[in-house]
Amino acid sequence: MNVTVDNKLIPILVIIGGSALLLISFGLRHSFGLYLIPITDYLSTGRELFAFASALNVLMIGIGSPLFGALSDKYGSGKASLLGIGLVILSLFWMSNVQGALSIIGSQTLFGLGSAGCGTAVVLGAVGRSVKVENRTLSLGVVMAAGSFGQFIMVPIISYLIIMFGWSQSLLFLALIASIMIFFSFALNFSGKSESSKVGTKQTIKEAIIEAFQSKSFNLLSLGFFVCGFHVTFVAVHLPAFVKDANLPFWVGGWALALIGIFNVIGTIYFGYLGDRLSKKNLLALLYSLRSLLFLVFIFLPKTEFTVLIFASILGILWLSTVPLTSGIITVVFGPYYMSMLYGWAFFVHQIGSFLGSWIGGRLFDFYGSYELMWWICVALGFIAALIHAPIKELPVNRVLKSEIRT
Amino acid sequence: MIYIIVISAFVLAWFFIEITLFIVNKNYSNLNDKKIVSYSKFIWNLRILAILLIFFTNIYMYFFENAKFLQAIKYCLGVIK
Repeated sequence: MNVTVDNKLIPILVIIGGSALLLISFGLRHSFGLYLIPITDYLSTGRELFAFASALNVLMIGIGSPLFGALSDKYGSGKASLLGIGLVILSLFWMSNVQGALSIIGSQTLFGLGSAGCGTAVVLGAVGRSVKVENRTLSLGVVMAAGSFGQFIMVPIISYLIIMFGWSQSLLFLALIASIMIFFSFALNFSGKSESSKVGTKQTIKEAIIEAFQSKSFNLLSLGFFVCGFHVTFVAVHLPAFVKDANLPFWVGGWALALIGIFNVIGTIYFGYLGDRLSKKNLLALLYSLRSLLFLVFIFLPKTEFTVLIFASILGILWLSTVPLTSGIITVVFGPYYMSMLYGWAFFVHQIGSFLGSWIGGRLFDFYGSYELMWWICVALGFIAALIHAPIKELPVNRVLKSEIRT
Repeated sequence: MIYIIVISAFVLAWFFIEITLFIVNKNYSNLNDKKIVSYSKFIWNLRILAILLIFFTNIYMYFFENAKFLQAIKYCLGVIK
């Protein structure tokens, strides 16, 4: 079926479709922690098995992102996301019938791969191709904010589903929620019909990968993104425990995560808006420096209810704001055609940072009995990330410049 | 007391956003570019979004603690069923 749509409507349709996809997929992805206790209790296994499966899930999102990105760039974002949604639904059915270690690991690995298909690489690529250059970073920010909102709103809903229907049946509800994404995935198909999607079509996937890996700017940008993953996952995993260790009231941990969630939505849009007006690499350098300064202040400040909540609010602004800026730079430098795949590669590095942030945080705590060294590592990495953004050239490569002049 | 601390933290962080956006807007004036989203339109949308988010989060946190929200959801789902 060939649907014709007014060119002016394409960006709106893709933004709505992409936002809905990220809202649901982020929500589902971040609610998996809720199944740790019920599933391990049901199978009478230790928590390590579920934790290992979750780590594989996170890693598969990273590995799957460039793969689905390449599929999206070659065959269309709608088709790539449809395949991802199919895998997510299948994995949720599998997980609702877990019988042992193999099915926990298998279903979570499949879920990770599927999540990559309906995740940031595919969606942001589609949005980057569809919108006008003047508002591109803001559009990426809006779509990313929907994803942030998804993880904020879906987690409590899913926790209620578990309480009311039990973990196994609630997973079937999740499969039902995931199937809603099929409807929105069709909207992403329109991204291939936009004007800007034609820039760079003569390049092959292999040429695009070689061009990106030979570019100093791309490698430095990916390294910066590694630090983002390291920071974000360390704080998300270890902040509640840190608050508990500081002998603060129970409600502080909950409100700290809620404020991170609120300001994450606002901050992503805010940095997206700024990215269309100011240099994106300078904004990224500022963002990483601010994170380091915030960690530094937090180390020395007394840990009270107010300081923890202020820390959480400011950190929320800086939380996922790196995404529209990083994806925006990739689109500017390499053009929008292979954006999904190239962002997918950068995201893969981000996920390695996430894995290490979570793991090293726990390891250092077990060794020293405090998170202080980890906070200092976060401070140092933030400043290093800010510095390595200085040599990045936020200009299109010659190939893109020539194509833009021709079109 | 909880809500005073939360709202104070929220207002301080929001102050940071307002100030920085105001400074950027003052220094950035590309009058030829009409396609770009205007500052006033953007800031008002962001303000509304922020107020809605903090309002609904407060409501959620209040009812969550009292477990009334759970009963309400149960009731709604029962009606739907």
